[in-house]
Amino acid sequence: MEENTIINLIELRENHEGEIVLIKAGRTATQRLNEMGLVQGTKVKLVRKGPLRGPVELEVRNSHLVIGYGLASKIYVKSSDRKGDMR
Amino acid sequence: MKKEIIIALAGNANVGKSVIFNQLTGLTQIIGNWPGKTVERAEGVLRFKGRTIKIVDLPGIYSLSAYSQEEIVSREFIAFEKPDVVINVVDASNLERNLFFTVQLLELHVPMVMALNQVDYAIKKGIDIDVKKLEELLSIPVVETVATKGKGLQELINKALEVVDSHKEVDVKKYDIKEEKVLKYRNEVSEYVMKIYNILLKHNVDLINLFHPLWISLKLIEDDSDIVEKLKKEPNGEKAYEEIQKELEGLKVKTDSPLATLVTADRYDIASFIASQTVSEIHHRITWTDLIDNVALHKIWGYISMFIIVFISFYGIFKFGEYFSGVLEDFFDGFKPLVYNLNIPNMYKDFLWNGLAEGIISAITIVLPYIFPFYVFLSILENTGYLARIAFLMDEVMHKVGLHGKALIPVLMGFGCNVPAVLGTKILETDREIFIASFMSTLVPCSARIVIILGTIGVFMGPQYALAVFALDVLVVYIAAYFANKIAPGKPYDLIMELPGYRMPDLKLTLKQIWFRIKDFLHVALPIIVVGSLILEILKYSGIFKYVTYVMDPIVVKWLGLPSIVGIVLIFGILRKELTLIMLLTLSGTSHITQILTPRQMIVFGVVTMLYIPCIATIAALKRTIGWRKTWWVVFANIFIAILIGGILNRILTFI
Repeated sequence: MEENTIINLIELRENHEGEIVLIKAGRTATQRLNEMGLVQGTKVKLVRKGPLRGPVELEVRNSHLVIGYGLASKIYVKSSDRKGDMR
Repeated sequence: MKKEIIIALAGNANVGKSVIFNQLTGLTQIIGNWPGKTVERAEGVLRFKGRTIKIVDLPGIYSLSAYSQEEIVSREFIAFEKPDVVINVVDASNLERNLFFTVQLLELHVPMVMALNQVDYAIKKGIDIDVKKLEELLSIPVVETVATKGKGLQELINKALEVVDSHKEVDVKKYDIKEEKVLKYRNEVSEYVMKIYNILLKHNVDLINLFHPLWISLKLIEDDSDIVEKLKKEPNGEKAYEEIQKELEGLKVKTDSPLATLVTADRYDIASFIASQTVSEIHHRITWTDLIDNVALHKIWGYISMFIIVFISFYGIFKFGEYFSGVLEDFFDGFKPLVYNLNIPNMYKDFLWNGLAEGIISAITIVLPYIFPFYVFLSILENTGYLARIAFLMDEVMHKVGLHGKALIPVLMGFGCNVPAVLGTKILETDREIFIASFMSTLVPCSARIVIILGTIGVFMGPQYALAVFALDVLVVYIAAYFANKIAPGKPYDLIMELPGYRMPDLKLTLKQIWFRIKDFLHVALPIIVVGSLILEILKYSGIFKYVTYVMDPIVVKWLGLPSIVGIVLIFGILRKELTLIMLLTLSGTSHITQILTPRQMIVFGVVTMLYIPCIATIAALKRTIGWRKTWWVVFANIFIAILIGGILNRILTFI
């Protein structure tokens, strides 16, 4: 078993899963993410990343969400991926 | 038994809510705006078993907070217009997320029925839902529907009427959260709901008669700005609010996250509990959506396929528009002699033709041939789910001007005709984005303006100069959008969007929706166009144009370096952009533009015509989309940009 590390969504690799531990965005953005089902403890799978600073596609609660790059980098997850593991 | 009933359709986006609405209301729809808002309101009438049922389609939303106009509109409708029953439309293949919204409707304790829609799709995905169990947990009737095929809709209405007839008013003065069967929040939240409720009762706050006390109390825990404001307006509101704030301090010290997050997390816990009790995934199948997305959202193939789809579609739209525009124009021109052969003074003939007929004809011959195919394309993009993929692919590019990827589509449409482009910005989420995208669209040269530039600069100076002018325009559009993004109130926000599964759009429904949208537009646009044309005709005959040139000459002649006559021509271009060139030639009594304009003047003329003002039909579309105040802002911004850039070009080009 690898040790779990805390990384942001951008650092998560495609097709890997993580569990949300912290959302470090502003009040409104945090609330909107919460309302789309991203709260502490939610399990997410990163399906794909857009090219360059493109958005990320997540699988969460059996449906798919797209989150812009800036916001995605403010969502922190617990994962077996390690920092700097980015492809 | 109530004879006249109001039913509200509420639910997330992409759940088939509009399909149900269309199936139920047929051709009785009225599409307009919510009072004072730019959010679209659709309502229709269904006659069923001797009763008249008004059906209101609420906007597709994920929550009942106060972050968007759609959400505020929806909850205020429920509070103030008190629908007799709310039909909560949910996507059976995506129950958990949908239930999050259902939970909030349950909190409002409105009479409710659930339409479990797209069950066929859920079955295909290998999802099985225990409807009995769901009804039991929610304590409301649940009806399985396949809206696109009309399945289950009869039963849905029957159940809704049963709910209306058996509904009893609840006493909001005797609420106890312990009696809730499925709405179970963490103990602290439940405890504070009751504390707040008691404070509201103590101060005789009237708000609990509008919205149910449970919902109000949760909203106050969340510190919902709109509800707080409403509370403070009440006689004892300030006092009650202060007391509640003091009480909530006790809750705040117990947690490190914002209180709103606690409530939202609890709602999701309730939603996932209900889903876990009712949904069983028999087998996880790889869906078509997954397979298509492997290409459609691919880093390379995604862009290539998007380019091909968009290019072919727009090519088709523009060709169709051009062709039908020509056909219709020839048809209407046939009526011109009828008017001019009448035995009345010439002035009246001009009033009749230029003032009345021409305006309406231009709306029909120029705008409709483009609006129609564009709406077809747009609704196919939207209903299939491909528009969301474009949003994914183009997010980064559009992000720089405060827009999301979707905005690319209406702005590109501008090259055909600005009217559908502006109307099409409605696919965007916020007023801010709609404003910026509309503004951008007005600066994109439509087919009429492209023809002017090709017909003057392109023919007499060479295509490379025409291309240079278009390149300049792209730059102008981008810079203008950049500034609009800086100036527009509010902040751009990062994309948060659900990626819906691909669906087949229903042709009949699509056409019906388009028909109502076009009708709505003509309703708003025709009076504006006719009045505008009449004013121009009156100005012409009042002899005021002599003075107009005095006023305009400093700009037109001195600053732009153009012949004085161009000033008058530009005024008529407001009606139709082609008129600038046509009238320039007729008024000068020549068919050779080179006899009137030097190459330098031709470029300045082309650029100014391209940018200077939206035509009258576009102004009407702007009015419909962003309201008069912002429309005037766009108009003046366009004039300013045209004069600025035209003047600068005039000076630069004298040196070359």
